[in-house]
Amino acid sequence: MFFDKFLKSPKKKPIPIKIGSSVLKHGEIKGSIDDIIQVILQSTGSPGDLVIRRFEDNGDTAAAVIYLETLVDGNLLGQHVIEPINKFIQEKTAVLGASQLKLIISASKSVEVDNLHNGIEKLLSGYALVIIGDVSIILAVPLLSFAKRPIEEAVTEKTIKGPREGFNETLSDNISMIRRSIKDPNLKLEKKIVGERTKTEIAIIYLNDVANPDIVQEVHKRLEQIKIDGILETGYIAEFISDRRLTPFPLVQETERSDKVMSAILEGRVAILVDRSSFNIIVPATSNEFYQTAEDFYFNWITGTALRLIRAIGTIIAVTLPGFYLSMVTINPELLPPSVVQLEASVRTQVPFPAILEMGITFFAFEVLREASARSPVNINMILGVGGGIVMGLAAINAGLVSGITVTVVVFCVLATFCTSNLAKEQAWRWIRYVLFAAGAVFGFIGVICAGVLILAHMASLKSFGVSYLAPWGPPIIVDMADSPIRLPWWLSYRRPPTYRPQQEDRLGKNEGEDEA
Amino acid sequence: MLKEKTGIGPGLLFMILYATLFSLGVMQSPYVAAEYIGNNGYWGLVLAFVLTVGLIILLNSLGRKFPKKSIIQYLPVVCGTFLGKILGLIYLTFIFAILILSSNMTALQSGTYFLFRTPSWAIFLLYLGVLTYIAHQGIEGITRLAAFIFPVTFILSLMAIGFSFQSFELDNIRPIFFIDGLKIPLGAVQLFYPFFPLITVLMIYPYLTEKRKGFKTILGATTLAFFMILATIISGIGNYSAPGVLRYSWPVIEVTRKANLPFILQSFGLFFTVSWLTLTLTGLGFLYYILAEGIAQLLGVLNYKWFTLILFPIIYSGMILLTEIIEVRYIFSFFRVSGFVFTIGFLLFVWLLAVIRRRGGKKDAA
Repeated sequence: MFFDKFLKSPKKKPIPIKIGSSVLKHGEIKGSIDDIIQVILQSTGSPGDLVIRRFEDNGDTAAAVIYLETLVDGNLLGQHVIEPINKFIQEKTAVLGASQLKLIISASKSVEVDNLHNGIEKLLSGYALVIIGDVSIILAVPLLSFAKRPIEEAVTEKTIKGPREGFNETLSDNISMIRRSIKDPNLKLEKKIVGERTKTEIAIIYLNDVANPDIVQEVHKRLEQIKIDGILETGYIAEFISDRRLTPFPLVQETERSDKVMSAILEGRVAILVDRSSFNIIVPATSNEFYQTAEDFYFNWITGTALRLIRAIGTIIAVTLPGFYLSMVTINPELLPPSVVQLEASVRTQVPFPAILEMGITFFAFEVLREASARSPVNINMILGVGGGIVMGLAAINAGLVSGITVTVVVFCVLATFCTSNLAKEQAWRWIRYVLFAAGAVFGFIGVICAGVLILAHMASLKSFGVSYLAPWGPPIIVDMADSPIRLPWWLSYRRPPTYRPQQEDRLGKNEGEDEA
Repeated sequence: MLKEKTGIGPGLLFMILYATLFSLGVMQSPYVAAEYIGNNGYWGLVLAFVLTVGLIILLNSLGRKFPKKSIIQYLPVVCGTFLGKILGLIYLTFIFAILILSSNMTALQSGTYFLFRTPSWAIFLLYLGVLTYIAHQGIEGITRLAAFIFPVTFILSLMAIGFSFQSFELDNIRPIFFIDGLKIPLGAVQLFYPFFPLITVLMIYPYLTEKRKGFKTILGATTLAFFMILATIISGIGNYSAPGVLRYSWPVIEVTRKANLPFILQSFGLFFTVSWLTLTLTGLGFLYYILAEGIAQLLGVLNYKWFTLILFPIIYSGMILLTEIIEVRYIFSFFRVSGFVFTIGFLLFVWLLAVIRRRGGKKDAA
């Protein structure tokens, strides 16, 4: 009720965004070629890269081609549009009408535009508009050409073993990567346009006979509810479609790796690919998914299991250690072994600041270093690492501003945070660590436990597209639990994760999915 | 929004019951067993467990009679509107009493050990804040939390209790078969208190998705909690003997402190405390939810989320008053006996009335 207003997503109200000029209110295609050109010029504001090519026949305008030269491939335009029209007019076999135009334009995927609104949208999306004399038809010919990044290794999810194919910012390239790997007629691809001004193309990809239809339907519903002027990156979509807004935890999985998306599709999950973003979305996403990497499945299962355990333990340490350390140093030293207490006491006498301030300053210094190095060129990063990390750290210890133990704890925690294999999840833990830190400083050991339970309770209340965020542990789903700390060997992984309620539970068979416990 | 499932499976029911029964029962039971029975105090818990099986049969029978209604909803059907409402209020008062007493004792005890310079009002505020948040998450959130923490807390508790047998001496738990008059039955009444939270099942039974597994699930969770508590009592008395146990205000912590892995882990005490506190907060959060949900159903206004907020100052005041006015341990012994009478009596009364008046079954299922 009261908290709902703040903690849960309210019913999404559409944000009204008005576009288009009044001239094009109805968008009828009527008048002469010049009238149409005039309307287009008015509506688009006569941009500098707009080219209008007219074809004259006996002094009259027989046809016109309108395109944006910055978006259209000139060679293709000449080859598929201009040359055929020229040739037709010169041969004078007939009057250039709608049926002739469709025949002579050799470019595939040409579409007839029934409305000037659509025509202008196409024009701005890299189509060339072909208008003929009687304006009975406007043909939009796709000739989009732009500079794009080649397929490279995913920067944020590097692996030692496995494919080096990461997504790039071109939707068609990303789709082709998936299509090339999953040659199944049931691989369904649906496209949507989101963003009133950017008209960003989104592809929803899933296995029609495996993915839960309720989840697919919900994906469509949530995407349709997005009302925004522009989508520039996947993060926009992720924020819109998440089940809960007031949470630091990512409720959808974003990845740059194509193999991860393919694996998710095979499990019965739904992929959302966004044009102009190398990060793509997988839903539903449970907390467990963020600790699994593609490599787990490429190495031997024993190695995969060991890596998963290291990741989980590393994350626990990264999040809880500052809180526990501070609580034990300041409020509950009796919980430490006597030898450690002696060591800590002797060190503390050399440091002028109280432990909370000392640790706070050290953490802040590391956060500053991290932020500074995150967006710096590689060669500057080296200087920041050596100068900031090593020299400054040692100088601070030698000057007696901070203790060696504190620096050790902070550095270890910062490093351990990166055990989380997902950037969004790592960011969540990064800030939650300070909640535990504050709780430990105020209420000691009890405070850390209380804050820990509070965070777990929050996580337990989260859902991703109807799937519990803590699954397969809460609720317990035995089949998936086995494949959580342990990477099940392939010869035992004959079932899809029941967590996502797939239509076919058996990877090869036709069993029905089962419900949560 | 995707249609959410508002139900809990047997697995979730098992885990929330285990968390509540174990966490609220384990800390005081060695002391109570030693105080009322002596060296063979563990028999009291065994006897209490036998009685509990009967209680579970009654709980399940009532649940099957009214599968889609909570006790608050079907009490007016069974007893008439007025008496039903009154009984509902009494039932909730009992839950309220368990919540206040357990929260108070947990906060004070953990404060004594870990926050001895912090005033009790601040510790209460911290605990109650956490409990309110947990209760606010609703039955699904709470049960998922219980399920998530179960594996780790269970293993840590098991290891702590298991390794605490290192200094166990058989002589301390002797004479095993010594029946000293009515000591064991009376002790069983005192040791019945870990099973009080079982009556919360009456509130959550409608949420259970697989009702045919209800009895097995409740019995399973109770049995597991029983064995864990029994092992703690045996270990406690076995380590210190009954008079020795009475020297400590929190004997279980002393017992688990004795547990250690040479050269690896100096003491399991800390890990056990972490597990126990986590389970306790979850269990108490669950009781808080039951109370809020029950009041919402009884009054028929607002929903449980509102009542988690409305109840906050009331519970907080109760905890403070209890600390300032009465010696909690002293009244706890009376509460244990009255709670025993209430739990058994209330359930028997409702069940008998439902049978005599032929209420329940298909007619009242919806």
